[in-house]
Amino acid sequence: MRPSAGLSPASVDPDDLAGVPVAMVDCWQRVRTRLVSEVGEAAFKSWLAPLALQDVTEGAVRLSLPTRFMRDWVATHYVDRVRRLLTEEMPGLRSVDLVVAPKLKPLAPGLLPPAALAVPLLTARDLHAPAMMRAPPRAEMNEVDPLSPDQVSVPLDPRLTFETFVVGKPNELAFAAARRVAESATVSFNPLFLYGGVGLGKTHLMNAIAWHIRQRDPSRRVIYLSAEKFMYQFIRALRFKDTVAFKDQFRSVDVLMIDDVQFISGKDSTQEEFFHTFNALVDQNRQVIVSADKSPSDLEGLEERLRSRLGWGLVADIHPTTYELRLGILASKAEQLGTPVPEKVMEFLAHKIASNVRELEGALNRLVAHAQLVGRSITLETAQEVLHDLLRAHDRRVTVEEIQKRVAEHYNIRIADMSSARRARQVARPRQMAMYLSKALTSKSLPEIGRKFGGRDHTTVMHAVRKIDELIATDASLAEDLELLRRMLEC
Amino acid sequence: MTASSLQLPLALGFRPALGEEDFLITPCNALAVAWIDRWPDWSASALVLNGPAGAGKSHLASVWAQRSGATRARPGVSVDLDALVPQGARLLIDLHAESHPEPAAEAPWFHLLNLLRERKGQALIVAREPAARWPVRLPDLASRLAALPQVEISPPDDALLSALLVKHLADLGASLDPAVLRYLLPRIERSFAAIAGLATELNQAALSAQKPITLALARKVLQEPDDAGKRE
Repeated sequence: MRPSAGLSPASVDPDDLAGVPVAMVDCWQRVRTRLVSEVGEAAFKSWLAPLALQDVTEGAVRLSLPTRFMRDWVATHYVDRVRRLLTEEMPGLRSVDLVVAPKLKPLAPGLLPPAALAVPLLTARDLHAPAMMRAPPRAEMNEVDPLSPDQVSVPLDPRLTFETFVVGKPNELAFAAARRVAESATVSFNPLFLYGGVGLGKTHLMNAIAWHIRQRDPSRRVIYLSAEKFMYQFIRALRFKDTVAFKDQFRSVDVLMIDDVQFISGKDSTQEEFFHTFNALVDQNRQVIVSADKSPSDLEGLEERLRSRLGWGLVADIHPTTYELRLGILASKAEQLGTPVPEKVMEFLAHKIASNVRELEGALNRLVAHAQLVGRSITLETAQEVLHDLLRAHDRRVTVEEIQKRVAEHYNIRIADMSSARRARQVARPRQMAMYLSKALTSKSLPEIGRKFGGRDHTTVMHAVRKIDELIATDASLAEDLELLRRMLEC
Repeated sequence: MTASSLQLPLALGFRPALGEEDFLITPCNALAVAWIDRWPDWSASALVLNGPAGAGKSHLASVWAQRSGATRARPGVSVDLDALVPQGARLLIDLHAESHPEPAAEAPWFHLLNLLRERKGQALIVAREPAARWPVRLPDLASRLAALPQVEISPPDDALLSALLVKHLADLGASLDPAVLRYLLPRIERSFAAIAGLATELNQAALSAQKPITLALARKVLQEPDDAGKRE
């Protein structure tokens, strides 16, 4: 990630200047410009660019730096120069003070507009949820779900309703079954068993069912929890010799929903307890809904009697998503997030992140948050960059040799020319490009890079890097070549 | 740093300055800083901060911990997760040099992520590798990790390299002349770990010689046989 500031190094961040007289702002701007020419751009960027004009009172100027360490460094090495320039620009000046204004704020001005930081991510989505299920305001988030009659039950996620579930061929059966159980006042299938791979929407359907039942008939007691939580609670009850209360709690509900039942496989006493709870509820004609990552018959480590009972009711599976469904999910999600996402980016994500919906949605969340943070819109390039850890299993470490080979191929010159003494432009420029890329993509020191280019001096490498840096700004086709090469080398 | 047979100056153990105002912000970590600044608005119950050794991950994480009042946590087999994750918990999970959780800890990690979600808690997870690439066996955990927002501190740019070298030396109680810095900068390996190593070497050499870090001394340190190239 190397965001470009897009501003000249000396320009002042307007946010730093609240409450400073305009005349002083101009004066400070001139000082900065002169500092750049006196100390050079590199030193300016490292140490003086973060200097901010704090306030001016009766000829006393206070300048701030974001860290104590930078303050000390500037105080030791640059403060005399700054003072001299300020005095020249501002004859009445009496003193210059350096203070630390500790705030985590990026060096590059304009990179992250503060307004963008304040945009809450979930607002738009929350508005789309039906009124009853709207997310509680942030302040209330820490309280126990007010709708939940029991502490045992996991608080429901207000975003996971039938309305927000995107239906397609792979999940329509499970969706219909879930709706049917949620809507019917009597128990028709017991249990409802939903299964499918990781991150395909089982938990979403479970939440949606629970919301729907509670909404239709608030008097029905619904307990929804994951199998692992059932286990932890059971262990706790055993430890505190409280199993009677534990049993009562679970056996007195109207609807019991257990997510990810595969987590109690191999846990014999938990299974035993669950089996008895299950039977007690089914015998009383109470609804039981179970989800798992496999069908009842494929669940390993589960006792035969439990496995067969789980398959008695309605078994519905969720298939892996199709490209079309993923695209639909992304579009719906983007709309909820209230951020425009180019179609090309959605197609790219739907194509690349095929494994599961959770990761797909996570990827989209990351893109939207990133776009807000840097204050720029989402593009295919940023998507590839931001999600590189998801899209590629490894970041390859590029070697100088690979760079030389690629660049030579690209410009159709011999690899030997990377180390030769030839100075003809058609050889020298690609060689400089390769040096530039070696500095950008490897951590080799400049002398080492120089050695790999026919034993050249590190100053030659520095010159090449400067030269290419200059050319990027003026020569669009070279900049494009460079970007292409960089992408080829990084993938 | 391995011990050498030369006269070894005492390791004075200057503690690195780790406050909010001691953190150096440059484009390669600006995004990570912005994510920390954005807290609690992470749109998820955890954020993964990753980056190479010595990139300042733990520093940034401790700034966050101070702001959020987070407690340090490490999910593991013998950890009482129920007590670890109260309502609205704020946890800092720093894997340090470990590249990913051990297999036995995967189920506790899974449970922890579920508990965080359920109890409206948030965690900052700090690791070298992005969580999507951890070799996790439990598919449910792998998918939850891959769906978390991640932010990376990328390898250092020149501005950060020079600032870091000076800061490392300042933490060791040594100072560096700008002329020496200008000499060193183009000649060193551009990685966080190499910079920290170099600072220690320069400081040791200066202490052994009982001299400040001069150009001559810097030149000598760089010419050591196991210099910049091998530090990784």
